[in-house]
Amino acid sequence: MRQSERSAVGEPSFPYGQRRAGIMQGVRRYGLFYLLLAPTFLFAIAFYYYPLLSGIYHSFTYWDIKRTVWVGLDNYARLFADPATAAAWRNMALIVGSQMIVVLTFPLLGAALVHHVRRGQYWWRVAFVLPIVVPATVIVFVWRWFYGVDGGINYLLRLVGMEELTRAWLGDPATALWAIIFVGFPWVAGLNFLIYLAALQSIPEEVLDAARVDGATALRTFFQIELPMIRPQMSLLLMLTIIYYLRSFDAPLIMTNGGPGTTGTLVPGLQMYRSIRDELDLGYGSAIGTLLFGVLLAVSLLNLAIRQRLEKTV
Amino acid sequence: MKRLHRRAGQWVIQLVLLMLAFITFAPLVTLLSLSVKDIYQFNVAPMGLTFPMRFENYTLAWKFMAEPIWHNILVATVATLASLSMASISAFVFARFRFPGRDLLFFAIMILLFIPNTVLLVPTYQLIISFSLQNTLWALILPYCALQALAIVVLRTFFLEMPDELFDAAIVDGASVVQQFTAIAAPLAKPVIGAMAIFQVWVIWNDYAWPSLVANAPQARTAALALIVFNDFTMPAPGAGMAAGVLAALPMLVLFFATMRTFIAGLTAGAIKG
Repeated sequence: MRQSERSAVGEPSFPYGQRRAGIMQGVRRYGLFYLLLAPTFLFAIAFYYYPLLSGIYHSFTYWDIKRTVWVGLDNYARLFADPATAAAWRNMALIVGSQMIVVLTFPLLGAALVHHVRRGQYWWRVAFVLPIVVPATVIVFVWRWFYGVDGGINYLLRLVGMEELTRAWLGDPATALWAIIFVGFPWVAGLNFLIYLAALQSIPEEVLDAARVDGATALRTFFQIELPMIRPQMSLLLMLTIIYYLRSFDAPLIMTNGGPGTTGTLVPGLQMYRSIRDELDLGYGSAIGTLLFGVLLAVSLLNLAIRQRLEKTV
Repeated sequence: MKRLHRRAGQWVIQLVLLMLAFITFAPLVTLLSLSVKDIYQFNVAPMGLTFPMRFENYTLAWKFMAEPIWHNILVATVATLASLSMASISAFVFARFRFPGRDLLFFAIMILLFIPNTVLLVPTYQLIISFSLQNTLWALILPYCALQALAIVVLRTFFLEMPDELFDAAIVDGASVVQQFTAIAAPLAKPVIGAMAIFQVWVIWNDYAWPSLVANAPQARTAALALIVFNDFTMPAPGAGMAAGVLAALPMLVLFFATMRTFIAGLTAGAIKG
């Protein structure tokens, strides 16, 4: 029996005596547990629960560092009337959509190849993990240089005589957003790759052996056996990708600050960030944050519901 | 015939992997090569190696980056040690003991996984400002200490799976809760705690938006931030700017090669949460 079962209320328990506990003894018996949990909860309250409630409350106020004035739905009215909001959500939808396609293709291809390669599998794996270790800011910084007017891409284009294609990739409204989406191409090296690889490697040998005896080709084995077996990981990664790109804004912040123009590569997270940094309008920022949180929560709950339904039908 | 077929397949795999790796590493290799160019080499031949290599770029970059990198190491170490100490003892209490409200409290921790820090940016910023912690390292350390939910959930599962027999002798000897944790549970959980710690360090090292809001002054600047400030505001020789990028990445690379297995385990565990 588990110790946790044993020390259930009213049952004899070690090490705090074997009699039914009185109130004082109850405090002595359990107090220690609460005391040990206290630091965790202190931080959870200070940096999760309080900010969450404060953000929701202040989204209905005018809020700067000095004062708070109740303004009802003004921030939300302003947010929904602001053309920048629509542009930000449109940009974000494009990024999320593209990354959904990316996560189901390139890292999976990389993982499948590394899983099936016979020579140097270990080193291939290390090679595709290594770039994850390089801080994202450094990666974005290098890509920013590549996209520059005198950057790597234009240099290569000039080198092969395609001068007319050169441009300021991040300054041109036609290419800026796509340039940001393309950061990290071919998107193999990453956490997604690791998850796919772990999933592929955990497929039991017997399943694959059966297919081999039947004389199935490698490609058929992949599509008919391996792919269906890692479907849970695919849907998990799809979900995590959606949630991640709904809120992330480091690349636009570092590369374009939301430009060209005011909304070329603006996303909701960056819109929120700018409401603090540029305008110190914390109430407006809170409204964006609250909206973003609501959407994220809805997506997470939808995901849970879908998964539960899938489990029932299977 | 079939063997020939399979061997050809292996060649194709190697070739595609080689291509993918080439494109993956091209930007990083370019960063390295740019970091040793003087301004003339930088403008005329940005791709590929040029000689002589200008290692003095690194001297210049180091002057700007040394302090921020030290800030990063300090913040990541202190915050990770603190958050994992709190998280692992909480996970132990959640896993091995029963007390009123336990499941509710654990649920309260679990739902933190669904609250991305990004959406709390504004109120957390106000919190830091109202305690006048902006532009101190505390503005980074304190919020990072709150990153505990994932470690608690992972470690709780680990502690739940430990057999009771491990603890029986200690309990008979009258070992306290804390003694059971420090003498038995924690040592066995070391690999898991290590993996979570590395994931934490990685997350902290990668953060850009939060430090750029509350720690954008020389006395608290982190490496990622300093890299951008160095390049965009101090207008160094372009090669030195690139050298700063290499320097910002270096400590994590060292950590990776020193703890490869744990590092990969930590990333994999952390990735599931995202």
